Amino acid sequence: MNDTIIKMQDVEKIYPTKKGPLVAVQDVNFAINKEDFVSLVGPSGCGKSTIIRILGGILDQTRGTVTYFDREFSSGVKGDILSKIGFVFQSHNLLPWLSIKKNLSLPLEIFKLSGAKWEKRIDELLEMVGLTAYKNAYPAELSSGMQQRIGVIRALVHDPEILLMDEPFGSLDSITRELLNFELLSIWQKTRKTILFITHNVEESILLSSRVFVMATNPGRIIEAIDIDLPRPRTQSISNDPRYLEYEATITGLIDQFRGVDAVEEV
Amino acid sequence: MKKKDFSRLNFLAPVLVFIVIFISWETIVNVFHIPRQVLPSPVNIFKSLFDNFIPLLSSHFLITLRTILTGFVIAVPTGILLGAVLSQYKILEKAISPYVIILVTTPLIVLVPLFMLWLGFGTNVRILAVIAQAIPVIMLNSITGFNSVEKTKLELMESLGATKWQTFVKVTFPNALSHVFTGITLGGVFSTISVISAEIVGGKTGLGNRIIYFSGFIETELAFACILLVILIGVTLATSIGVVRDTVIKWKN
Ligand SMILES: Nc1ncnc2c1ncn2[C@@H]1O[C@H](COP(=O)(O)OP(=O)(O)OP(=O)(O)O)[C@@H](O)[C@H]1O
Ligand SMILES: [Mg+2]
Repeated sequence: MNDTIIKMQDVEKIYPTKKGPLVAVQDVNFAINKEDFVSLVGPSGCGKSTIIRILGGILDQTRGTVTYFDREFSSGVKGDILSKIGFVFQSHNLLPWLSIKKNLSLPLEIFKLSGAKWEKRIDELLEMVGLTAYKNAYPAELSSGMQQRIGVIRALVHDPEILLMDEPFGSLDSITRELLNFELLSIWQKTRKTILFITHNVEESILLSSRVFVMATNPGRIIEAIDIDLPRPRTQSISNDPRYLEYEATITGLIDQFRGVDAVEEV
Repeated sequence: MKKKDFSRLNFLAPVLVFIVIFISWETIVNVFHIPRQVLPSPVNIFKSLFDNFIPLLSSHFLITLRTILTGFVIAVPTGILLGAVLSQYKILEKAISPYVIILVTTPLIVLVPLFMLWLGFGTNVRILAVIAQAIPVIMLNSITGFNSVEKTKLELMESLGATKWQTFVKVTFPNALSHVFTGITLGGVFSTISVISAEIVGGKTGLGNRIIYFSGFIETELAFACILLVILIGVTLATSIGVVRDTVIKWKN
């Protein structure tokens, strides 16, 4: 039995711009298996967000197909399949006019999930990230780390099988970022979601993932898929593992090789 | 605690300014012996207001108030609704906006005589004046609000597969509220101004009419008393809108 649950085949996205059509990504092909934790790494502008937005039903691809489970979408992902997906944005993207509780019930309302079971789930998730006390607060009353935690659990509230995360911790300071990375790992271990995680931080991708997709620009495409064979649960000490350093060298090498000579190093 | 101190200061500051103006005005009028027909003293204005409110002014005050409120109550929902519709259909917005701006920038005073030519001197003309003046500001501000939604918030709704209506209710509308309230506040100010203008141009009732009427008889104190009542209406309207806004918009961005 095949347990592939996300698949992209020959996907291409062309943006119409003032200077003419811009091919953002081309010939994107990959398959993600159930309970995989896949990271998508690559330089800025290589089309990471484009790919994840197509997967999340935000953008329609120009060509190619997206398949979730056994359902194929050739012109944009839509419909009830979206209730099986949780999307985490780069900025927390909470609605400032809704309390934390109301923000968390938004997906439930849209997906028409009501009842005590779901109410309880909101409480459990709040407890999991230690923010029960903020249930009735407004987003502006939370620190940016707390806001991002809420952003993550909002994507989990309707109990989706798949989590799509577009540089979810990119805007946070490195300490909070590390903390949230480990929180995410423990969530993944507990709930066994299938995760696609975007980052342009190579170390982050190795720490978290079971597989890393490396992308290159011009045109945006996936150049390599690397299995990360490191023991779990992973802790900070993983970076001493010789295989970790090997993976890091390989991935960084790939990115540099395809980046060209005149590119400037990015943090 | 701190917050409370501030709100007390917010309240005290304008009161203090009022007292300063009141005392200087009173002093200047008395020291320079300015004749009361030219510039009455504030004490006399208030006295005249209290003495004459019931017999001479109250009926006109109520007429003006009713006209403003009627026009305002019609203009607010209409302006918001028009703004909502136009913001969702860009072509409509493009087609109509230039004319709305013309309507906003044309001084109402030039239109009122025309309205009166067609509709007579009754209160309906004045209500029409309020509506013509208030709807466009409310509408334009609402459009700005409805168009100012962050793209990522709309993307959130798309990722949830929300309908256009759900997106409007959950995101576009609440996001627009602070702009909408700016429009409503301006609409309130414009309503007051346009009713008074219309009353000055024609008819025999209302505070605007009384200002002209009393000035004609050199009853300057009474004319000032009427102006004071107009100010009272304007300030009360603006304050009430502010209170409603602060109860509706409880969040910070
Ligand atoms: N709405 C759009 N209209 C036109 N061009 C776009 C649009 N969105 C993205 N692009 C272009 O498509 C390319 C890929 O953009 P994308 O946002 O997917 O990159 P990214 O890998 O997510 O970059 P980053 O790491 O900076 O977030 C870029 O060249 C970008 O300029
Ligand atoms: Mg991006």
